[in-house]
Amino acid sequence: MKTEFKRSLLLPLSGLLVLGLLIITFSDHSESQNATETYQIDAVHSSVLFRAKHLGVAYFYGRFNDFSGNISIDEEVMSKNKVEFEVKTASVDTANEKRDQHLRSQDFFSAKQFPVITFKSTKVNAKAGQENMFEVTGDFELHGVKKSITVDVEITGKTKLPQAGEVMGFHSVFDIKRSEYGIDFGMDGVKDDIQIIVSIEAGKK
Amino acid sequence: MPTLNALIVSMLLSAIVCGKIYAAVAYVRMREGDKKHLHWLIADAMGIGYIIAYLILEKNPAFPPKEGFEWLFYFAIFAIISSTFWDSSRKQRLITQFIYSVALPRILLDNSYYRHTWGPVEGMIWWICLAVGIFIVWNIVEQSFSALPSGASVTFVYFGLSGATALVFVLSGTLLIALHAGIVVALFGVMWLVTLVLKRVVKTESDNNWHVLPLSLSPVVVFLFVGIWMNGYFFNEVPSVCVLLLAVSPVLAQVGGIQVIQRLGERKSLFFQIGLIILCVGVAVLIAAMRSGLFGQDSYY
Repeated sequence: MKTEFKRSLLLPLSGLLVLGLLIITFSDHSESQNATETYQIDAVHSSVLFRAKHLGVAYFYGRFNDFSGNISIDEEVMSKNKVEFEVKTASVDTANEKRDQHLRSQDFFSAKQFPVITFKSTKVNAKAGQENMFEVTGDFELHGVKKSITVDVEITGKTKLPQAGEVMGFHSVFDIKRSEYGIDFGMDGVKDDIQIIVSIEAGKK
Repeated sequence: MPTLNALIVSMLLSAIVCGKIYAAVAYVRMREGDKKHLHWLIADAMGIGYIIAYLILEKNPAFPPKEGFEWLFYFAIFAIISSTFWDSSRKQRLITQFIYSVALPRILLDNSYYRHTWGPVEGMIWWICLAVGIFIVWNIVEQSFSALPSGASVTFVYFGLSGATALVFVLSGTLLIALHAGIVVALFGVMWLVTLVLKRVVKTESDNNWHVLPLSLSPVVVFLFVGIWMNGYFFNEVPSVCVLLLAVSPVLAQVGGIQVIQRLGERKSLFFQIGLIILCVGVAVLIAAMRSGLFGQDSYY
């Protein structure tokens, strides 16, 4: 009698346990989905620029016209923040077709061989004491050479538009040495230090 | 990227090494007649000359090569090895030509076009076309060695062809590959000068009716030229029509076999042959110059 009572209790209890686990699992999942927001880069309102010193005299600026990427933001769990960015090297534009052709050649980007420049974050940290400033570490691949770099990223704004939904702005400026990526043509003419300026507007997916 | 000093040193050193080996072989051939076992030494002279220049310009050859031009170093080694058995039999030579013609485009373009650009069908079509093209160019090169009269004319033609290649590349906005073509210019330049000098200085005691450039040199010439042209077209923006004109220009040496031209006499026939080749490569340079925007607003940057 006692055993039968125990058995009759065990069945609904185990059912409850399974139900409870299911609720926890789904609620956890829906919570994490809500917390991580993915933003897609709006290339029309974003810019990827580079600055190089010519002849050691003056800076000139160039840009890339074709790029894409996603930014995942989780305000609660910092490790879930992610940045993925891709730039098409053939889209280099310096307002001089001959120079663009030269930049696409094997002397510089070798655009046919290495069609994209990529950045994939591996770690995102908030900068202590600086509001809206983050330190993003990731793999930067240029000209077939992959290096881990850390860049400062600022969140420049956030708004909600009726037509585009939620949009966010990001800005980052960092320096690289082109020779470290195997681009060492004409170092006397165009200096080794290249500044990269990335200004992004991204819309929530 | 090599500096101007490295470029000058590499061209000089490679020309000296190539010139010395070539002069020694050419001298023996002139004094004692043509000997088959000397042929591969001429290929070695050019191949080793190029390898020396490459090592000065690019320092360490990357392995596996990531960029197209980095294959040129390995192509030169392959070509030297191949030249040792090139004279053995025509059948063996044709089979080797076929294998190399098929392998070369796949090796050179595997990392880029086959991975990023072409689909399977498009890739296969390109592969077949390129393999057939390289095979044809190879035979054009081999036949040009014998179609031009013995003397310095054949080395002069290839000196001019490599010079035009370098010029077309410079005009098309790719200096790196133009430098490699420049090394070939130095190598053919020194071979041309050595041939000119030896023909005047050395008293021949044997029949001198042999070809200055033996068939064994063709792997080196084809691997370097085809490697450079393919780099120019596929990885840079050298116009396809220029590459085609440069590649087919040596076929014009065959006009020397036409009876009407032969009747003009040896000297005029030679002028006719060389004139047509110069015209063909000249058109390639002209097209490259016109497309370069050399005279336009964008020419200075």
